[in-house]
Amino acid sequence: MSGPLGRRFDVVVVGAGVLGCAIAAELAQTALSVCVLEAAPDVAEGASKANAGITSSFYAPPPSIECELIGESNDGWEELCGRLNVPYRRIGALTVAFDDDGVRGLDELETQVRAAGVKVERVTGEQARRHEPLLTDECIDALYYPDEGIIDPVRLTWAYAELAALNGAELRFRAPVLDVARDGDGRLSAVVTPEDRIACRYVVNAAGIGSGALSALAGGEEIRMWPRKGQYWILDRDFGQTLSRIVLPVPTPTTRGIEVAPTTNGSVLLGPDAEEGGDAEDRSTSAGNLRKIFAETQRLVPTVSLDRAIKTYAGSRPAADEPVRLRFDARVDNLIHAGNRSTGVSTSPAFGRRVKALLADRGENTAARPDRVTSLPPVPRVLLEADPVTVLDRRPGDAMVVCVCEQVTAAEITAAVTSAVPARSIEGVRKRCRATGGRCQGSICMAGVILLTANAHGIDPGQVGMGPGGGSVGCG
Amino acid sequence: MGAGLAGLAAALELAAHAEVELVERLPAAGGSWQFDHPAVRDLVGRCDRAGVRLTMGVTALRWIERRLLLIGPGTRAWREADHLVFAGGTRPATPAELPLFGARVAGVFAGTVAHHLMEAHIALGRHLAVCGSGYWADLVLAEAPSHARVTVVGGDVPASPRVAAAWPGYAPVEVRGRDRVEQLVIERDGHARAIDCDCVVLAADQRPIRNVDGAITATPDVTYVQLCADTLTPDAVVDHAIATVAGLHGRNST
Ligand SMILES: Cc1cc2nc3c(=O)[nH]c(=O)nc-3n(C[C@H](O)[C@H](O)[C@H](O)COP(=O)(O)OP(=O)(O)OC[C@H]3O[C@@H](n4cnc5c(N)ncnc54)[C@H](O)[C@@H]3O)c2cc1C
Repeated sequence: MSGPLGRRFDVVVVGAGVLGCAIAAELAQTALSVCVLEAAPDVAEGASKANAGITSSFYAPPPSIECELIGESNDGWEELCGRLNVPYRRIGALTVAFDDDGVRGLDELETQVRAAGVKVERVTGEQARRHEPLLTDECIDALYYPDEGIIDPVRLTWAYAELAALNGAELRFRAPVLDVARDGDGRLSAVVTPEDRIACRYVVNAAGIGSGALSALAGGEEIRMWPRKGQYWILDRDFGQTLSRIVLPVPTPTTRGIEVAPTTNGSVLLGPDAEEGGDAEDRSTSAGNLRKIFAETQRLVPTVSLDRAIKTYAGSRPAADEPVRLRFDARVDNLIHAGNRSTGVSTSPAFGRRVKALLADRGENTAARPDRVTSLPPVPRVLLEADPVTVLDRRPGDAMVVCVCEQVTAAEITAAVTSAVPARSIEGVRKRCRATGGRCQGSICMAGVILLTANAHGIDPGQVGMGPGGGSVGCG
Repeated sequence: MGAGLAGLAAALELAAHAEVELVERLPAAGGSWQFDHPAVRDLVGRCDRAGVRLTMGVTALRWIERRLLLIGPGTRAWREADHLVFAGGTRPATPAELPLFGARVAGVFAGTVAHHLMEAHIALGRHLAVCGSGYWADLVLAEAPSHARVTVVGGDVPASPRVAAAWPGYAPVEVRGRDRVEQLVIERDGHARAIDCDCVVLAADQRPIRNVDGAITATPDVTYVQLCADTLTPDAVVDHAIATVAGLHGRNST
C-alpha cells in the first residue's frame, strides 16, 4: 500500500475529496511530483459524495472569491466532462417565490446575480411553469438561471483522481496525516502518516472538515471548522423523467434552501436541510428531519411522493468562518489552504488552476508536460445511451447487465474495480458506476458486485468493503 | 418477461391466443424456484410444445412505445410487442421502503443478498437480526452458521431451532453503529428497544421487483404477474398468473 520510505514529493495534497483530487489532477500534468494522502479508504468519502451535484452559476454576491471561482469554472463543464467521461447536464434552475416576502427576496437576489454578470431571467409564475411543468401553482414569481447544471460529483472526483494517477501522482488511502514536520525556518518539510514519513516542499490542505486540525498540526492559522449536516431523499428515475429543472426556494443567509433537484442518473434529490454542529463523521439519517424536508419540497413540486423514495442519505458541509479558502497560510510559508463549504464541486476546476498559479508565483515550473494525459478512456454507460443496441453491437462482450435497476454492465463494473484508482468496496463500485444504487438497492446484484470486486483484487469476498467506513462484508 | 413459475405459467396461458416470447435474464428458467423444480420442468416443456419462444440470458431494460429493449451477450435488440407481461419476481423491502433510518454502515443486507453470500460460506456475523418471516427469512435461517445467534424481528416466529430470540409485532426503525452495524432499534406501538447485532438481514414486506424503465408503474400495455406474500406455493403462483393474464388475449390485437 505505501510507497518507498523516505520518498520525496514536490507537493503533498491532504484529502482526496473533489478539491484535493482536482488540484492533484492539475499539478500532476506539470513537472511537479504529487502525492495525495487520504484518511478514508477511497476518494470522495467526505462532503464530496454527500452533496447535490449542482454546478452553480451563482452562489455568493460579488465581490467575493466564491463568485470569481464559480465564474471561472462554469463555462468549461461540457468540455471538461466530455474529456473525463463525467455525466453533466446544463439544465437550468428556478428560484421561486410564493408571496410578497419572496418577491422582495427575488428582487435582492436578482440585483446580486446581475452584478455578478451571471445569466438570469425574471419570469412570472406562468412562465416558470413553462420551464418546469411540475412547479406548484402557488409560485407567483421566479428567477430562471439557464447556466445552472447538474453533475455526478463522485464521478467527477474519481475522474480527477484517475487523471492525477495516470499523470504519475501517487494516491494513498487509509493514510491520515497525523503529524507535520517543520524545519528550522518554520517551513513544512514532511508529513507523517501511520506507515510513512513523506518529505515534501509544499503541503496543500484540502482536508475538508479536517482542515482546521491539519492547520493546527502544521503550526498554521487557527481555522475553526464545524459540520453543517444535510439530509436527502432520493426519488426514483421513474419520477425523475418528468422533472426538467432544479427548483429552489428563495435562499436564506445560510443556505440555498431545501430544493428539488434532478441528478445525472435520472433520480431526484429532495433536500438538503442544514443542521449546525454535531459529529463530523455522523452520516445517519433521521425520520424527523426527512419528514420536514419532504413537506418543504412538496410545496415546490406538489407531485413528489415518498412512494417513489429509493434511499435517504446525509453528509456534512465543511463549514468555517471563511467559507472559501484558497491561499497560502499567513504563518507557514509553504502551506496552501484549499477549502469550500458549499460550492466545492462547482468551483473545483478553478481550484486546480488557482493552486497551480499560486505555485507559479513562487517560481515553480508549472508548465504542462508535453506527454501529459488530458482525457480518460470512455466506458459506455448504458443508462445514458438513447440506443444501447448500436453502442453494444460494437462490443457485444460488454453487453452483460449486472445491475438491472441502474442498467450497469459487467464491463462498467470491471472498469470501476480495475482502474488506476480502483473501487475496493461495494460503496466504491456504486460511487463509480451506480451498481447497487438503484430502486432495489442491490437486492438482486449486490452478491455479484461483491464477487467481481473480490476477483479483481484477489481477495476473499468477505473482505470486500461495504459501508462508507472501514467495514467489510464478512464478520465473524 | 421473467421465466420464473409466474412467467412460465402466463406465457403458456397466452400461447394459445398470441405469439409469445419469454425473456429471462438468467441462463435458465425457474427464477426463485430453480430450474430443476418439477413444476418448472413441466411448464418449460409445455411452453416449448406450445410454441413459446424462450430467450435466455437477456436482460429487459426499457419498455418504450411498445418496444422492449433487450440486452445480453447473445441478443441486443428492440423487440416490438403489443403487450408486456411483467413477471419479474419479488424481493424484500429496502430500507427506504420500510422505512429504516439511521447509520450507513457495513452489515445490513437484503435477504436475497444474505442468502447468496451465506450459500457461498461467507460469514456475515455472530449475531444476526433477521427482519420478517417467510421465503427469504427461511432461506437465511437455513444457511445461518451454527455458531451464530439469530434474533427474528417482526413477522411470524418461525418454528426453527435456529432462532434464539424473537420480537413479533416489532418493526426495525433505526440502524446504529460506526463502521459496522452494532445495534438495530426496533419499535412496536411506540415502544422502542435496541438489540445488539453485527448483521441485519432485511427479509420483510415482499415487494414486486420493478426494473424495466417505462414499466415501473401501471400502464395500459403492461400487466404485472407478481404475487407478493410471505409464503407461496407453486400452485398459488401458477393460479395467480393464469388468472391475471386470463382477460388479456383479444385486447391489443391487431
Ligand atoms: C448537503 C450538502 C450539499 C451540497 N451541495 C453542493 C452542490 O450542490 N454543489 C456544490 O458545488 N457543492 C455542494 N456542497 C459542497 C461540496 O460538497 C463541498 O464544498 C466539497 O465537497 C468540499 O470538497 P473537499 O474536497 O474540500 O472536502 P471533502 O470531500 O470533505 O474531502 C476532504 C477529505 O480530506 C480527508 N482528510 C481530512 N483530514 C485528513 C488528514 N489529516 N489526513 C488525510 N486525509 C484527511 C477526509 O477524509 C476527506 O476525504 C454540498 C455539501 C453538502 C454537505
